[in-house]
Amino acid sequence: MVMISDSEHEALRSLLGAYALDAVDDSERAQIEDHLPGCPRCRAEVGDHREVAAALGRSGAPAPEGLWDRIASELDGRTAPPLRLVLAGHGTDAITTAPPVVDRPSRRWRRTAVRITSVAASLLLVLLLAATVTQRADIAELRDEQALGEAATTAFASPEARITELRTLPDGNAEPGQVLARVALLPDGDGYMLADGLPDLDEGLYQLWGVAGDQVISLGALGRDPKVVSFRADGSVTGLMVTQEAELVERSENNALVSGSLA
Amino acid sequence: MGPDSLQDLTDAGLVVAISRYREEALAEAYRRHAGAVYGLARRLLSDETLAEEIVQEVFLRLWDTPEKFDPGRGSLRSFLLAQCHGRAVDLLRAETARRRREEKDQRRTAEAGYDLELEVWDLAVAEHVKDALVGLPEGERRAIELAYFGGHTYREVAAMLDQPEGTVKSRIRAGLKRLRTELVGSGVGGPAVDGGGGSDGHDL
Repeated sequence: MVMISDSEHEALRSLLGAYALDAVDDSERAQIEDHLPGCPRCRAEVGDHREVAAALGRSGAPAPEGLWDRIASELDGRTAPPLRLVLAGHGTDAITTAPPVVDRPSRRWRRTAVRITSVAASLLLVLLLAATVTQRADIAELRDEQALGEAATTAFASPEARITELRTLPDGNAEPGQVLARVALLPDGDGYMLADGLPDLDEGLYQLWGVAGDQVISLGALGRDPKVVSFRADGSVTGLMVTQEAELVERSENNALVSGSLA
Repeated sequence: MGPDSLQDLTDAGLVVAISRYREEALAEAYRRHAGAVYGLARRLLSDETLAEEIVQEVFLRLWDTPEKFDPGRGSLRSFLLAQCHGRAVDLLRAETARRRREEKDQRRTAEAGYDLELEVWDLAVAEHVKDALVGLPEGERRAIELAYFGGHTYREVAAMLDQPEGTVKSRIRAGLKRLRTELVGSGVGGPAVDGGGGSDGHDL
C-alpha cells in the first residue's frame, strides 16, 4: 500500500460507491484495490455497499432447472484440488485450500533411501492421530483424518516415495538445521507432510512452495497450525519450502522458514 | 455430516464444508443463492445462456477457491453477487456487446419510455427493497440503476444523463448509503436473510 494524502484519500473514498457497483474504470479500480488492504474503513464501506447492491439484485426466481446438474457433472470431471488439508486438533474454521498447481511435464522420479526417517515419521503420525481422535467429536471429520493419517502412513512406508525433512535455514529465527516437518511424495503426485514441528501462528498462515527448475510454485496454504497435510506436486518438483504469510499469496516476499530437497 | 445438518449450517459453515470438497455443501449454497445470481446475470446480460454460464462459473469458482470468501467482509450472498456482477460487466463491456447495448440505450432514451418505475418493478425484489429504491431521490436512483443493472461506469452514466461525472459519482455513493439506512430502518436482516442464517452478523 502506498501512503496517500488526506485529499487523495477523500478522492478515493468518493469512488467507493461506484467501485462497489463495478462502475469505475480500470485505473481507478487498480488505485482502490491498492488502497483497500491497508484501510479497514474503506473496506468496510465497500462491504456495506455490496450488501445493499446484493439486496437490490435479489430475485425470488429460482435458477433454471438442470443447471445444478451441469455444475455437479463439472465437479465430477475435475481432478481433486491440489491441496487437501486436515488440520488436526483444530476447529473446522481453520481449513483452507490451495490455488491450482501449474501443470508440468512429469519427470522420472528419484528415490531416496531414508527409511529410518519414514519409520520415525510413521510413529509420530500414530501419536498425532491418537491425540486428534480424543479431541474430535465429529465422526465424519474423524473419518477424514483417519483416512488422511492412513494414507500418510502408507506413503511414508512406501519404497516409491521421495522423502525429505524440512529444516530451518541459517537466516531464520530458529536454530538452523532443526527438522520442523517431514514430507513423503509419491510418484502419482500425492504428497504428505507431517508439520507438527512448525510453531502455531497467532495470525497469518504457513504456505507451502515447490521448487521446479528455476521456478517456485505455490502448493497451497497450510493454515496456522498444520499437523498432517496432504498436497499435490508433480515430478518436476525437486525442493520444498515453507514461508509464513499474512494470507495466501502468489509470490512470496518472505524468506523460507524451512526447506528440504527432494532430489 | 449428513445433508440434514447442512441445511442448518450458516453460509460460513457451508463454505468450510465446501473447502473440504463436500459436494452436498456446494449444492446447499447453490440452493440458497443460485436464483439470485442467475437473476442478476440475466438482468444484466438479457441472455439466458450467458446468465447460466455465469452461474456455473461463480459456483465452480467457489468450489475451487472457497478461501476467497471472507465471512468477516460480508455475506456469502453479496460475495457471490459481486462475483457475478463483475463477470457480467466484463462481458457487457466487451466491444460488440457494448455497441449493441449503446444502440439499445439510445433507442430507449429516444422513446422516452425509459420508465424507471417499471425497471424497478421488474426486479422482482422484495417489497421493502422496492420501496426503498422508489423512495430515493430520482437522480440517485437513476445513477444506481444505470450503473448496477445497466453495467455502465459512472462516467458513462454521466454522459447518458448529461450530468457532471462528480455529481453521478456522489449520487451513487449517497444513494447506496441512503438505501442502507432505509433497509436497516425497515428492520430487514440483509440479503442473506433467507439464506439459512448466513448473514454472519453482517446484517444491513
